[in-house]
Amino acid sequence: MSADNSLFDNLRNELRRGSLVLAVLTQLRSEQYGYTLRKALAEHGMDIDEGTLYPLLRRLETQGLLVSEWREEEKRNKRFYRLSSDGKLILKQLLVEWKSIDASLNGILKG
Amino acid sequence: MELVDRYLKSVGSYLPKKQKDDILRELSENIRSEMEDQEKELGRPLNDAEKEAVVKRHGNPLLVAGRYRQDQRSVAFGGQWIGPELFPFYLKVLTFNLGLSSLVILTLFTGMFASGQPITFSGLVGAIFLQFLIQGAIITAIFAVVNARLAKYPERWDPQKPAHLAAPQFAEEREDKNHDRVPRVESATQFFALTAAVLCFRNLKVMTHAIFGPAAKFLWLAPAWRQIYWPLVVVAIIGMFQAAANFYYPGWVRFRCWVQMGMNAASLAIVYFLMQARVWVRLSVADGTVDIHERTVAIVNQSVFYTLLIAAVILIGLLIVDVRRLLRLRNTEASKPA
Repeated sequence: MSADNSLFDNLRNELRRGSLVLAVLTQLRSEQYGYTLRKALAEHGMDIDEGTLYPLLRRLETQGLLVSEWREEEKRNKRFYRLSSDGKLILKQLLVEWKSIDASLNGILKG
Repeated sequence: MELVDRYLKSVGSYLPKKQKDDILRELSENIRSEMEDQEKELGRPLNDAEKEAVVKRHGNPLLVAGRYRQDQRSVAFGGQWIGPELFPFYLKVLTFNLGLSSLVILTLFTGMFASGQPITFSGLVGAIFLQFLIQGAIITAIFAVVNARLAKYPERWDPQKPAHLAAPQFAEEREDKNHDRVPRVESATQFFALTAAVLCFRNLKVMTHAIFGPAAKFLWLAPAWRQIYWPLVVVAIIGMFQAAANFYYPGWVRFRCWVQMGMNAASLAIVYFLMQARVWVRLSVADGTVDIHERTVAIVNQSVFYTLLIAAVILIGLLIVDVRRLLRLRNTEASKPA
């Protein structure tokens, strides 16, 4: 039983990992810093570990999909992220792909 | 030191220097924002357990730092043996060991060449390849075990005492190393490394061939090496016992300091005994080629002498570090409130 649970956990994590980038890019259409982004995603039911999300933001920035800048807010310096022009383009393409996968899956599920 | 600072320091010890400050600054802001946010919600400052929960949620420092690294290479054969988190350290250890072995083999072959021995390219490549195979397998196995543990129990770490990278070649701020706990990764690595060393001692004959390559045909290890066999095995077994004990009881820091000091002192005595021997390699043939071989033996003996000298200097340095560590531990314990 526990083996089944761990298998389910692994598969669920894989499924979520695939949609994580899409969720992050979508959320960063408006500027946010790490912690508020995590909260916003959690409010939409997309709970992500801090240890996964913050490195992911760096990676997306290195890939040119995000831009960031340090700015002061509430007397603290924070690193704000937002979509770059390349990021906007990729997000558009990914959303089309996502909708196509969603439609296909729905079709399969309906039999 | 505050809980968050300790955590950041631990993550930082695994990060590449270039990105370290920027990543830690951002991570620090995110953790503190989260804590402030929770304080606002609760209308009071967070207690220690709540702060600890926030830090713990950020994840095992080694794994988090690994995710920040751009280098996502890993070792995989079927399943993943060594993940991207450990890969940079694996690569460093492997490069260091293989580099050192290649240097030893090249010195030996140069000695043989200088004394007029017939040297073949295939002999040189074969000797280096054999070393690469043996050491590569041992180091990969050790890292694979550590990796499997990390993957199975990623949550097994204590935010109050996060581990720092302790290997001297990687530590950037050795003086500030955590003194409260022996990292389990370090104990496991020590245990497996010493097990591999004992296995190598057991197969001294095979190892002689591996080290000397074709020169093993006419080189014999002098009796001094056989005399140090049991003392070396005993020192290694004591080290394995200490590593196993510290794996289960990471808080036994003082115990580790004493045992390692004893091991270093014993190793120094062994090196001193070996240096007294003055002859470490002998000829095993008595034919017309003795003259040529003798020159090789002289060069090898000279190399061994300098190697032992360097080993003695390193061991004296380690003993000084051990004494300083024990004194620091005593001072830390003395300054703790009763």
